[in-house]
Amino acid sequence: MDKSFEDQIKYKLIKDVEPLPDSYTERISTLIEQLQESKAERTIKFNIKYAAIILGLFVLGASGTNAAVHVYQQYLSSMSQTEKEQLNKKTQRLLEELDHFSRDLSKEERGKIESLRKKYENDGMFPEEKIIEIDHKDEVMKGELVYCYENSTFYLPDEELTDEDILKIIDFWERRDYAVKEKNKGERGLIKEQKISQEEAVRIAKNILQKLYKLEMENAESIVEFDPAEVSDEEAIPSYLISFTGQALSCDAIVEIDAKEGIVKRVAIDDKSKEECVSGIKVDEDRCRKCLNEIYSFLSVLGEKDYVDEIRLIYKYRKDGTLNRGNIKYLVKLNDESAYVFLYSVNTQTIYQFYEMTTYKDVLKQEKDNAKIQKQSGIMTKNKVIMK
Amino acid sequence: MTNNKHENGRNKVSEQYFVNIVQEEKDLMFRLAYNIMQNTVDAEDVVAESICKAWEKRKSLKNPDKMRNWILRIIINTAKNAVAVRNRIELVEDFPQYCDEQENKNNIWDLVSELKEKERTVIILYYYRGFSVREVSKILHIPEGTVKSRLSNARNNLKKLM
Repeated sequence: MDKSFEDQIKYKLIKDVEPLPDSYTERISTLIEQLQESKAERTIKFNIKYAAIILGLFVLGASGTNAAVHVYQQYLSSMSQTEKEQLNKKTQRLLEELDHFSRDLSKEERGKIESLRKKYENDGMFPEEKIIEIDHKDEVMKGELVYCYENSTFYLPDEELTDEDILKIIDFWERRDYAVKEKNKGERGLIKEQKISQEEAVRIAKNILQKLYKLEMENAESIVEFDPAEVSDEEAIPSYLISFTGQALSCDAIVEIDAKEGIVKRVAIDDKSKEECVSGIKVDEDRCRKCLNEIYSFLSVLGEKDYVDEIRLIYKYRKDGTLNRGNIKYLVKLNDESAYVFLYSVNTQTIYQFYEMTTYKDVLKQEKDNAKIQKQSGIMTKNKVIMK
Repeated sequence: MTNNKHENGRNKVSEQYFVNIVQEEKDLMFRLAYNIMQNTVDAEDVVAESICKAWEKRKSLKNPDKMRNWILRIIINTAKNAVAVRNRIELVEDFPQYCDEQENKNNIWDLVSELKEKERTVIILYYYRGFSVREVSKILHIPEGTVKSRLSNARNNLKKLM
């Protein structure tokens, strides 16, 4: 991935952004005031990013205290691999990027956070014990300082926090930042692990598009991006994202190729003349079943046809019996419990996208959860096994 | 009685949580709505309507931790529905500060506005707001791979425009 171009996008989006219209700001403020009329309690949110800015300033200020900084770095680098991995994994699973405190911090406590953070970094003042980390709210021990991952909340004792308590909080932030940074470094290291060259990945991608969609790929222009980013909770799996465009093609296409094994992880095509997702199309289950042959031929090309355990048909429809987005999903369970998801467009009459998933059970659960949420908006879901 | 008290307390906390999220995300809400509506007045209406809708339904949300994503999704869906309703109706003339800049092709937002709507949305969520691919996938209810391919398409198209 072209990091400098990405940075350029981020920078320009912030730099060029128009201020919000006054009319909008006023309208939202009024609306918020109306909503707040019923409020009685307050929860405080502490912005990690803001904390990080403060940290940055202190690190700059600490440039003259090399020995202490060395102790601080040594302390963090003494974290075991397991500790770093667990902390990072739990952090990645957080639903929010903001931490919360169970009660307002007093002015004194806030002041102490700043002063003790300086001592933590510059003087090597660390807590005697680490903060207690819990996964669920129901594990909270009243009167004890704990951090709960479920809601990203520090549960505080009612009485004023001691220096040791505050150091425990600072220590948790520091160790968490360090664990995440180390993991990111590790992910960058994965680039070295790539075994498939860019040229090989393009060749695999062209081959699969030719076989599946009969596209004439010889003169297709391609843009390749290497993506070392996280793919799952467990690990980063480097892959190539190869985009094909050009007048020679009837559709744009993107193929994701695993950079370690050269496996086709995903294919998505975008018809140039028709939209894949169009609402207002009546459901035709017979047509849906006929599409199974096409799914099988795709699976055959992917070398997975003989390992199919079950195929589910999933579609979303409205009260008037029309498809919500004009597409049908086929969820294929393989006998190693992995899955393929195929998306079929009724409008273009093609499988316009498919991707591999490592755990069938998780995909199915996600589908069921989505169905519950969408039901509230009047979108119904049909989810049934059509082949076993 | 105790249960009622507890329930009451929890609701009040969630009310404040709701308000906090609206305050934190009001900028993003406007950008997302404007991105779909392409019109300031309509974007404002969409955000206001979405906030009211979310407020009314907030108790139906079983997991308050998902409130942020939920509200953002409501904004996007409300805007899309509003576009469907507005379909073929002439756009309301926009405010000058938004129109004048349309001619300035050095502004990245103008370039972004030339992308497909689904690409614009991921650009705003990922690059402007800074959500991770996983977070964007949760907000939009689409697989992470789809987010990545939309981002990839968007980047390629932006490169061509720049």
